[in-house]
Amino acid sequence: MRQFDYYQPKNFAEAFELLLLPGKVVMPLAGTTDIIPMAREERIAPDVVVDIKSLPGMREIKETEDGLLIGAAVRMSELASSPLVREYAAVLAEGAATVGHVQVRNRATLGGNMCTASPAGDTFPALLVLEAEALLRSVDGERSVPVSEFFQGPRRTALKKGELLVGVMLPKLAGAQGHYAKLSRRKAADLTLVGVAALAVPAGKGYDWRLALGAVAPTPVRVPEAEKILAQGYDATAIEKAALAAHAACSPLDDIRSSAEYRREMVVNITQRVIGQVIEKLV
Amino acid sequence: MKGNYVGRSEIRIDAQSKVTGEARYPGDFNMVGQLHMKVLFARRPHARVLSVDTRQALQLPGCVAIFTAEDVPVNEYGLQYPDQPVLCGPGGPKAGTDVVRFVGDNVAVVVAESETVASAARDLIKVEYEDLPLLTEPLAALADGARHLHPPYPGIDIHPELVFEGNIASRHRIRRGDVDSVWEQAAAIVESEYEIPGQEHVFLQPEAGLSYIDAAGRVTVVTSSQWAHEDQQQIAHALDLPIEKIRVIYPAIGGAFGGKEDMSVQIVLALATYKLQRPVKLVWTREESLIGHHKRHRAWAHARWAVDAGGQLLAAETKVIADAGAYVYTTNKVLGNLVLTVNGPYKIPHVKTDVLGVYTNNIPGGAFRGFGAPQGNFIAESQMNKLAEALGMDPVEIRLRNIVQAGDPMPWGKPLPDDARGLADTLIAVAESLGWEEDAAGWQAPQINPRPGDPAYLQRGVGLALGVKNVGFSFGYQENAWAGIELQGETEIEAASVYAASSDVGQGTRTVIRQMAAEALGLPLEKVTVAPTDTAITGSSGSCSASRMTFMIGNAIQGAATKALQRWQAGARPVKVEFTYLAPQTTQIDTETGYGDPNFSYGYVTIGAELLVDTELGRLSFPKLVCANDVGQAINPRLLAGQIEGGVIQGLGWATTEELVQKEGELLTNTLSTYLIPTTADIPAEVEVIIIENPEPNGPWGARGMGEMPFIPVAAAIQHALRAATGLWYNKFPFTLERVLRGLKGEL
Ligand SMILES: Cc1cc2nc3c(=O)[nH]c(=O)nc-3n(C[C@H](O)[C@H](O)[C@H](O)COP(=O)(O)OP(=O)(O)OC[C@H]3O[C@@H](n4cnc5c(N)ncnc54)[C@H](O)[C@@H]3O)c2cc1C
Repeated sequence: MRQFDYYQPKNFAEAFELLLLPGKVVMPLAGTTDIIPMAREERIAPDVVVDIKSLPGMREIKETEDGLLIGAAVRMSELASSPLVREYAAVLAEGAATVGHVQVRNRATLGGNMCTASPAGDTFPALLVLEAEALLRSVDGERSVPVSEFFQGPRRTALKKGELLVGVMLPKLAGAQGHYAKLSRRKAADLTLVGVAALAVPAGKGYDWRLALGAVAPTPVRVPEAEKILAQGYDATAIEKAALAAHAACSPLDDIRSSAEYRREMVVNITQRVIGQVIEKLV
Repeated sequence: MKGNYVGRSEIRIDAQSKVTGEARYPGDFNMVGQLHMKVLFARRPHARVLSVDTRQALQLPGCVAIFTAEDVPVNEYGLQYPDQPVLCGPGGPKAGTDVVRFVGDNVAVVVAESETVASAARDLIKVEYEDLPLLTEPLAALADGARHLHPPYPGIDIHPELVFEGNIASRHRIRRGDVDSVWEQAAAIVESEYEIPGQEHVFLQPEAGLSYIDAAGRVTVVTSSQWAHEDQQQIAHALDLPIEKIRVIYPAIGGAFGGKEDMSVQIVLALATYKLQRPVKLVWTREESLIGHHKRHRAWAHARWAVDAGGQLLAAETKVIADAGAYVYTTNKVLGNLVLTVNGPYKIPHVKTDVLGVYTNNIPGGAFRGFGAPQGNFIAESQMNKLAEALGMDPVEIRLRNIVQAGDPMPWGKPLPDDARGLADTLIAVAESLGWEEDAAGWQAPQINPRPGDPAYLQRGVGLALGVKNVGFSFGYQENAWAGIELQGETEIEAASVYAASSDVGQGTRTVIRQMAAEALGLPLEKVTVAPTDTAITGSSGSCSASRMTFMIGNAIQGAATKALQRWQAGARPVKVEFTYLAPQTTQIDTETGYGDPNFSYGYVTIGAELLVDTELGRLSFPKLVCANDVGQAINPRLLAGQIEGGVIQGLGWATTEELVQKEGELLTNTLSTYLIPTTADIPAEVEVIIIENPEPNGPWGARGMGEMPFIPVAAAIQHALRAATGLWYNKFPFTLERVLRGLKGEL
């Protein structure tokens, strides 16, 4: 692994100055669980890393008028156990709880998971069904981007040079119920073969449904066809149809972990189970 | 029995140092003025090295030296047969040393002032290769006209099974009776094809070492391996130095499981220090470790076994082809044990067994916990479970009718050396633990019903398998172990030092040595210290493998203690004695018939599995695994239970998640995020340990070997439980999600 310089700025001005150091490859660093393995494998070679964990607000979980604000440097273990997150967005807490293993969850951050932009990232399906907004900040000021637009492709995000993800905003969704489940080959520390998040949001007399898949397409994807079916009702036939719509929406790859065919079949089974879990929470 | 110390769970000697991080592993040693080494691995599976150009690399500031094939005095090594070049390249006197035969062959080593420079210089070496045709499937390597991967070797008398016929490295046979005379009398015949996977050891500490010239002028290597004196011997051979000029020291060792049985860093480190007269350090990365050391042998088998209506075995005909990979390593020993275990511990009048170890361009097959017994066992126990089913007989019952009793000959013509009571004892203990019951009609398996709350996609099953394996290497090799004892004091013994070159690979051998010495000397434990494993101060205790160390070193300690106490009583002060224990003699097995008396002791074990199958996902989970192991005498029950639990979980990994994928000679599962060993979360809710103690007549305090036993029948027990749950016999494993699901969809 190549050597690099490490900085831990205490305010944004300092951070932005470092991020824009001329002639240097500069990368933000949070929990290090992606960046260090990648540097070791020499897939990246930063000259400078900027630890963003001490920047103001980065580690906060806070209720605001607009919803729940989660700082980018909040750790998976905090997400998984935070009463606020569990109340607002249990589906995200469940997603966070499936990441890696205890040691990884004690370091890995929400922002790191999002900025790494792995199609198998376990927080994305939940963020997608919650319709979260990614909050970005740079020397030019702040902007927000829907999470669905933040993730642009494998390892590609909406972040511009010198820009940081500072957090996500989860809208208030009174009475919503959701669930995330992941299929992997081993019970811990294993990448997701199929990840499914579903959320039922009260609407009129019934529910609006949201369904998202992880690890089975170049980016995590919503499945609008399935959502439409479920909005009409969620009996056994509808669930099956929704699961088949998920099957149609995915485009997994063959790799050393499993065949594309297996992943595609499992999208159907996991989707059915996840919807079933949500329905159980509704009644 | 419980003695003062034998039979008691004393705290490990190294518990505190390991918990606090004070224990030093080979990679933790540093010396002033040390240099750093990096290895240029071939990373191509079969090629002739035409030239190695080091000029540019040597110009890199800080690069001190680069060694290639030409620099190795005797460019060959190998635990069983020296068929591997230390460094592959042109210019040597021996034919074939210019060829790389698997991705992990070493081509050059770079020595530099820092690891970074060493890596950079390594990347500047220019190697010209001529790629050679690949042979990665043993059947292709056996085909007529297949290119021979090695030049013809003359072989060696002590290993007649190493035949070196074309790509056949080793051949093993049993011929007993005439299988073809009994097929027609059979009430049931079971015929199956098996495919048994390889396995990576994933010891936590990758290969590492530090070499230097010690005060006595010896080339000294601090490293982690399983047999210090054998390392010493092989280093001396390759460097063409007298053995006294080489010293090997083992500090704390982070696991081995057979994976450190063969050389890795030792010879190249010694070579560099010898040439440069400076300390040199080498630490393999995990990725280098994964391609650099051998794996459990993959094996393909065809088995055809017959029983009569009463459940008595009539015949067993079994053919096994194993992938020896690029070099012999311990293939002949591994497959020797496979031959002894593939017919189980059963009375079978007619036996025909053929086993071949075949050279390919894959990573070599070699030692791994169980040493061929797991592969043999899977075949034998699967056949037994299928035969029971074919007859409508209980699987416990069929085994009880067939296991050898004292005096019954094994397929090699001789009975097991003890009464082998452990076979039935462990079997019944596991059966009872799983809910089997005995009535007038014999043993009956439990009814497995869905439990309240079980979803429709969940199926339950239980299964079991028993196992046997020899303790020690034997096959005519005179097993031996050296121990030394020093007693200090005047009127009474104030301190005792025990010397033994036993490699503490994590199993706790040094703790057990201390307990046995205190027991034998009648001293309080606090007065006994165990000297480090160091060839400068000990004789050879042999390899820490083959479940042999407690048995062998315990006997040596008893011998040394008796001698030491006699001297003490005769008035000697201080006392210093040595003792070499020689195990009972054994013989080779005949290369044509397999007849002989290959081992002096065996271990007995049974595994039971309770399993759940998620039939929609193909996922297995295990409410319970149970292991009953006849250990003769537990010297330290807590350490022993740790060995059982570890062995069972390692077996679970082999059977379920550990899929080793090699393609065209490349290792595709080349990280620990693609090669999946079980995590703590994957450990079954219950791992029940049942320790059975039928004393081994020749064992110290009755102890027999056990380190490998708990691993051996795990895969077969799981296969049996999977059959019960799904109605399918999965003859190929690991039982990954996808494989299980495919089976359920009719694509077995
Ligand atoms: C053993 C192991 C198991 C794992 N298992 C899983 C798993 O099951 N599921 C899963 O989803 N992931 C898993 N991961 C991946 C990883 O843990 C997660 O992606 C984690 O959330 C990354 O967060 P981090 O804080 O460690 O990121 P870092 O490694 O610190 O950073 C990751 C990337 O994000 C950038 N970055 C970080 N924070 C910001 C920010 N605020 N603004 C802009 N850019 C930023 C960095 O520059 C870097 O490119 C695993 C990793 C390991 C080592």
